Amino acid sequence: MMNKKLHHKLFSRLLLLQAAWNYERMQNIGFAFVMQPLLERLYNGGELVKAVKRHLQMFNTQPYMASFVIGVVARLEEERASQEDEAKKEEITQKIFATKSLMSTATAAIGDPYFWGTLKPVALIILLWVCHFFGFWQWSMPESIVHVKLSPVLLVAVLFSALMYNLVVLDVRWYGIKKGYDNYHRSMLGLDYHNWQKIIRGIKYFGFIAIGMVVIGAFYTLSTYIETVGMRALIIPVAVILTVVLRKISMMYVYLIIIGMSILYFLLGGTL
Amino acid sequence: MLLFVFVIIVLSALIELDNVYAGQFMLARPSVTGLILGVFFGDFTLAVQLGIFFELMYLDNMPMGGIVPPSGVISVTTAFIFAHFTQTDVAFAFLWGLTAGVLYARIEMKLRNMRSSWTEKIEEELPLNPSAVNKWVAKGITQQFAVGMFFMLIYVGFVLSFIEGLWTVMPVSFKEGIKLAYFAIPWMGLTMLVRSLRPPKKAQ
Repeated sequence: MMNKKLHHKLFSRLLLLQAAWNYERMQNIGFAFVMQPLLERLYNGGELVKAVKRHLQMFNTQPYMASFVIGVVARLEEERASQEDEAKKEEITQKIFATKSLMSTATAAIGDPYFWGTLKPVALIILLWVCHFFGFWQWSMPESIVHVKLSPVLLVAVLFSALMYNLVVLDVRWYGIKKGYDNYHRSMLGLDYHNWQKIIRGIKYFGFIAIGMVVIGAFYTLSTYIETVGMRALIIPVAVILTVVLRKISMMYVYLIIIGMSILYFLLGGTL
Repeated sequence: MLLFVFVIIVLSALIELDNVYAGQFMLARPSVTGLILGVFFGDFTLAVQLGIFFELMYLDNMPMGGIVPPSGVISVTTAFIFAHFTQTDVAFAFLWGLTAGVLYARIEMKLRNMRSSWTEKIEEELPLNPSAVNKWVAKGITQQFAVGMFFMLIYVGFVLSFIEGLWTVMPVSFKEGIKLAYFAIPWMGLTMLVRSLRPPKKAQ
């Protein structure tokens, strides 16, 4: 059975899952590294070597959601080690391979839109929101910012944003191992720990309202500084339109296009 | 100044590990890196503003599958050094920070490719040392830290040698163009945020 000590070990090693990420087998070395303490407890000698090699197969998923896979595979390894019959052992070995392959896709399909597509932008919005409504409201006006050595508002804003994000991440990383371990025999393999779709939708609604408020705030700041900004404000609709129209290309390239267009405008004698 | 720059680079190379290789607590988010740089080295608002701008800029670069997005830590660190320690405009420093982030992503891809041979080596070592994986994980982290640090040292050293001179001799039209595009970044970022957080339609 998985005790607290082992849970702690799996969790702390999970933080280094991607330490040797490679293009051939992706997170495989990290996965074997996470499983090492459990495998050392279950096997020794040649069996241990074989077990470690088993986990050097290709593996890749969203790094936070890997906790569920670790939990399920840990339980399957324990079950395999407890078998006397070689045929039964082989059967569980095949089940381990199949589960890892199946779960890597499923967890990535949940984790990528949840963490990268929703939580990360919302964490940024929280930061912008706190900045905007608690004192550092000129963040969107590069030239109007008063440079200071330390701003408590900014400090709180960044720390709050990082804290919110990490609370969710730690929940998934810590309980994911447990949920996977406890539900290894169920069809959902512990992945029904949260109603992911509902959460993503809820967070997106929250983020959408918050970003709406930030946009209004940014326009208010612009109107306050409109005399300083002057004709440069005309770049704003251009930037917005280009970002919307050129949505297939990275924002970095849109930025470079705007630099090119602006330089051309000034070279042709345009003024602001 | 040189000592300060060196300390900033070592600190950033450590933070960069959090991006992919160790932890992923989002310390490597440009805004958080900006905050850390601001607290340690003064000019808090400059560091956080650069952080926010880089975070907005890299918002659509998600590290899914084998995709290696430009490094926000390397970008914000190098841009902060150029903006804080030279007489160039922050918009120009931002552009060089962006270049650093993109270049570093290329180097990281090479590193990941290089590490593809590691599995075979581990499998050879395992019969003699069943804990061989631990050593290779430690090697991965050390290698990443060293490469990040040396990349920043070389890049910053190289760019610092000409950035001020280049900004001085640059035609006004180029200067104004770069400044104008920098002014547009928050608006591009806000547009991107609105687009990415548009609530999904409910399934019929």
